[in-house]
Amino acid sequence: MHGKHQHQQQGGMVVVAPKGCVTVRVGAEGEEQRRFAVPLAHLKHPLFGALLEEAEREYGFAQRGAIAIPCRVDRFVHVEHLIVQDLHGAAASHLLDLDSSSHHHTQIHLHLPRFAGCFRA
Amino acid sequence: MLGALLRLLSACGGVWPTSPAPPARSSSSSSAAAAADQAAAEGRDGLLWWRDLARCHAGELSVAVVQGNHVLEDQCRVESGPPPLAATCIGVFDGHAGPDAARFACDHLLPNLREAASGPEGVTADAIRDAFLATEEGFLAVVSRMWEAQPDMATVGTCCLVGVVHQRTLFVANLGDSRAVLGKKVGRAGQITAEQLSSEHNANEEDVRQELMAQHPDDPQIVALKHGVWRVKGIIQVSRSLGDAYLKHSQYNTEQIKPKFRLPEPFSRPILSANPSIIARCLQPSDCFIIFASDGLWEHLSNQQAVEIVHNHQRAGSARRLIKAALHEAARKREMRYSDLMKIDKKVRRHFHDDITVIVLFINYDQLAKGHSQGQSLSIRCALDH
Repeated sequence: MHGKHQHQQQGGMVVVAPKGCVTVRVGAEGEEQRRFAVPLAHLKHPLFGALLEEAEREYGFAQRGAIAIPCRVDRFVHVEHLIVQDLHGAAASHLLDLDSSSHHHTQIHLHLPRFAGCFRA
Repeated sequence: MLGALLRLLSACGGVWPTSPAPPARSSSSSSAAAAADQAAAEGRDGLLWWRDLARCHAGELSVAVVQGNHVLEDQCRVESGPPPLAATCIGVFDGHAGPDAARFACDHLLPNLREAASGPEGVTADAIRDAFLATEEGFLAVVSRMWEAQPDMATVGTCCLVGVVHQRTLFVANLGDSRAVLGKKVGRAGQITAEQLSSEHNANEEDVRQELMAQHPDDPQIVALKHGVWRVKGIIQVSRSLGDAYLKHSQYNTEQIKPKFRLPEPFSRPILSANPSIIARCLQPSDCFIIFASDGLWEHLSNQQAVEIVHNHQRAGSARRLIKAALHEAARKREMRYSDLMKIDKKVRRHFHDDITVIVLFINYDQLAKGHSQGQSLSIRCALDH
């Protein structure tokens, strides 16, 4: 049982992004949505702003759940990479892909230190 | 790597300093004690502004606003005074497509009401209606005057929710989808129950869609689903508003306005109306308080949840408490922490919640019944920058 299904099937469990992050659901039309935890600092970046504008045009503001971004996953990962490089120099790090492992996400969120959930060195 | 994390930490932590309240645009009685009271009860933290408690003609009130839009589109105003107009007047204005119509309504609607109610009959439903229509007329005159230089003025509009307590009568007048909810005590145990006082003019309401279809029988596209919500002409959720000249007068439906507001066909009768729904209620001893709020609150809290939050806590800070409850719910829905939501910049905050304005009016029934109103006058406007 992985990612999204796990989130949906855990009923009353509170799904929440790691501290300092927001959850986004990413996927172009016809592509399976993947969830990512994005550091708050990225939201203000113009490249991320452009993704949010696309989301607003496509879905409006009245989305249910985490913000959905209508963008191919590979493009999104690339954009995030550029943002990380821009904000933090060449020491690029990775996003936390909430769907990529079969770990129990709640445990990850509760036990990882601040921001380690957002960036894997 | 550690350096990058530390930079990120400081970037996240340093963005939202808590600042003391700016010099208020509101004013209370001239006494120094009242001024000190006011300073203690007013504050601001980032995009949140509040006035925790103030005394007024009808009792006491609590006000709070949080900004969700990059440019604040909500406006609010309280005017409460001794004779000639011994009344407490409340206005909540939720603008759309820009702040201009809400600012205009906030500047003019309550003064227009004061003028309309200056006759021998005082505050009546007719006087309130006249004040709404005079404000609409005034704004459409501005749109007309600015049309060549600033055609976007034709596409801004605002919801208007007005409450007036005059003697023992409460009037609630509404255009759009802000909402007034009464908290009243029922039963011997004195439980609190919610009664919605305003009718909402939002196309997501079945009866509003029916009304629109009945008014426009020749237009099968008068309401359409977009982004999962019903919209008038597929454009706007509210069916009544102040402004939105492009949906009232076909002359503004030209290529000068933004494509998303253009209608494919000219129209002969106004699509939106500025005629408010008005109720009058004789206040009862069991009527405890009224919550006036823009739809930003009600998308996260039910009427009953809201009245229980007010009822179960002290009066001071009620409006701020309601906004915080709504923001906790907004954060939960977006799968994030409230503390993180509060750090999000106003450039992108709208993706998480709308502007929210809340005014809670606590009715002092005994004071109204005896005709002993507070002598001081009160005037409040939100001190958030536009």
